Amino acid sequence: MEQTAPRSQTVARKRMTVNRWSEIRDGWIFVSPALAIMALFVVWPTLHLFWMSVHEYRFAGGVQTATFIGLENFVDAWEDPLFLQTLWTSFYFPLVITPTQTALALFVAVLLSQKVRWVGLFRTVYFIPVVMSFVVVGMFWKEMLNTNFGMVNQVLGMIGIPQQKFLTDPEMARWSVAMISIWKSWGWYMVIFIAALTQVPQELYDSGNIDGTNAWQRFWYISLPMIRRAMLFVIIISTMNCIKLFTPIMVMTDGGPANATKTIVHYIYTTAFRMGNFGNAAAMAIILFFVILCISFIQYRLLKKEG
Amino acid sequence: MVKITVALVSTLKYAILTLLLAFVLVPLLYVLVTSFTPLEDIGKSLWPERFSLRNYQVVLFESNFLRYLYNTVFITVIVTLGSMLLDSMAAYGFARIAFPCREALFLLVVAMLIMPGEVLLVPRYILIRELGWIDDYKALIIPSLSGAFAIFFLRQFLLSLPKELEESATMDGCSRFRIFWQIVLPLIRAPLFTIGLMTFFGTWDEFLWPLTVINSPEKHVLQVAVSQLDSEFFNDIGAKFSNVVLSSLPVLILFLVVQKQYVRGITSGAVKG
Repeated sequence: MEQTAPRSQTVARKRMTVNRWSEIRDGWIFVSPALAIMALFVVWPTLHLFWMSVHEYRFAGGVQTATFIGLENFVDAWEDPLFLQTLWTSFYFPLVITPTQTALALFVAVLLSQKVRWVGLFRTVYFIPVVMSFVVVGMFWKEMLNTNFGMVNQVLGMIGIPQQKFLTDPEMARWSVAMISIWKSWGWYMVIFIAALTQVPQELYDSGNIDGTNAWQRFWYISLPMIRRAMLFVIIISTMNCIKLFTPIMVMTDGGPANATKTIVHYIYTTAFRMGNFGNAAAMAIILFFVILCISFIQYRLLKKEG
Repeated sequence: MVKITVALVSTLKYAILTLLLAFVLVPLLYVLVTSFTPLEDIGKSLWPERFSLRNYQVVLFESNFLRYLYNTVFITVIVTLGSMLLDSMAAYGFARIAFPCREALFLLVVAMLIMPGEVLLVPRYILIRELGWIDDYKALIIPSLSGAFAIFFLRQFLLSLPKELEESATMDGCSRFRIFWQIVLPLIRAPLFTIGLMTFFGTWDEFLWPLTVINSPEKHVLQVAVSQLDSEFFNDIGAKFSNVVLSSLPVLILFLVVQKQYVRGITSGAVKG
C-alpha cells in the first residue's frame, strides 16, 4: 500500500495533464445545466429588475410600453403613503412575530430537552402545522375566525365574550395574521432549538450542578451562550420570512381591511399584476431588496462577532 | 418540601405541554370533524350529532380536486428529481473538477442565495412572458431545476469526503460520468435525499409563483386552488374543510414517514453552521 499510493498518484497526475482539456470540458458539462438555469432565471431577472426600475414600464391590453424616466419610480414610491404604510407593516410583522415565536420555541425546546414522557408525540404534533402549507392554514383559520359563523367566536360566545372582528377590524386583523403565522411556524424553530440544545455537552451541566446552580442559572449561563449560533440563525430566518410575508395575507385578508395587513410583497404583487405598473413594482422590489440586504448585513456582523 | 416543588414543577411542565398540544390540535380536529359533518349541521354545535361523507364526495367527484392534485404531484416530482440531478452534478463539478473560472462561478452561486424570489417576481414574470411560457408548466418546472443552496450544501459534503475512491476509479479507466453515476451519487445519497425532501416540500407549498404565471383554472396547482376555494364553494364550509384535509394528507403522510431525515435536513444548517 505504501508503495502503490505515491506511484498511483504520479500516474494520476500524468493522466490529468494528458486529459487537461477533457477535464475542462467535463467541468463545464457538469456545472453548465444548473448554471444556465440560474443565469437565465436569477442573474438576468436581477439585471432586468434594475433596468425596469428606471423605466415607465407598463403592460396593458396586450401592449407593452417602456420609457426611460430615471429615478421617478423611486420618488413615486417614497411619495406614496400606501407604500410607506406597507413598508411599515412589513416591519410590524417581524417585530411582533419574531420575538414571540423565538421565545415560545426556545421555551418549549428547553422543556422537551429535559426528561419528558411522550417527548416524540409532543414534538411531532407541534410540528404538524409546519408541514401543512400556509395556504391551507390560512384558509381554515379564515373560516374559523369569521366574525359571524367562525368557530372561535362560537366558543367565545359560550363563555360570554362578545363577537370579535378578527379579520374585519384593521388592528385585530394584523394581530390575527401575526398569531396564525406563529401558530404555523413556531414548531420549525423549536426543532432547531432542540437540535442545538442536544449539542451542548452534558459535562457543562454536570459541573454546573456541582457548583450548586439552579435550573434558571443553568439555562442563562450554560445553555443560552452555547446555542447563540442557533439563536441568531432562528432570528435571521424568522425576520426574513416575516418581512416577505405574503401567503397568509393573500389568503386571509387580501391586504385589508383598509390596507391594514398589506405588506410590501403584497403591494408589489398588486401594483404589477392588478394595476399593470411594472416599473413601479420593480422600484419597490429594489427597495425591499436593499432593506433585506441591510438587515442581513447587520445580522451577519452580529454573527461574525460571535465567531 | 423539595419533593413537593419537584412534583409541582413537573406537573406545571406537563400542563404547559398539554396546553400547547391543545393549541395545535384543537383547530385541526375541528377542521377534521367539520369536514365529516353534514352541511345543514355545521355551525350548530361544536360536536356534530351525525356524520356524513357528503363533503368528501363533493370535493372528490364534483370538483377539480383530483386534477389539481395530479398537477401538483406531477410538477413536484419532476422538479424534485430534476433538481436533485442538476444540483448534484453541479456540486460534483465545483468540488472535484478543475476548470477555469470555477471559483468565480461558485461565488456567483453563493451570491444568489441572498436574492429572494419575491424580489425577482416581476422581472421573472416578464421573462416567462417573453419566452411564451405563461400558463405553461415549463414556467413552474424549469426555473426550479437548480438551487443555489442545494449546490452549496452538496459541494460542502463532497469536499469532506476522501477522493481516493474516485481517483482509483479514474485509474481503472472509468469515464467521469460513470464515476459520477456509480461512485459519487451513492456516496452523497444521504444529503441528496435531504435536499430532495426539502425541494419536494418547498415545491408542494409554492404559491406566489404559480399564482402569477398560471391562468387556466384546470392547470392550477393545489395551493392556488385552495386559495380560491371561496369562489368555488362560497359558504360551503364542509366542502372547503374536506378540501383542506385532502390537500394536506399527502404531505402529512410523507412527513410522518421521513420525519427523521426531514428534521435532520432543516437543522443541519443551523446547528453545525
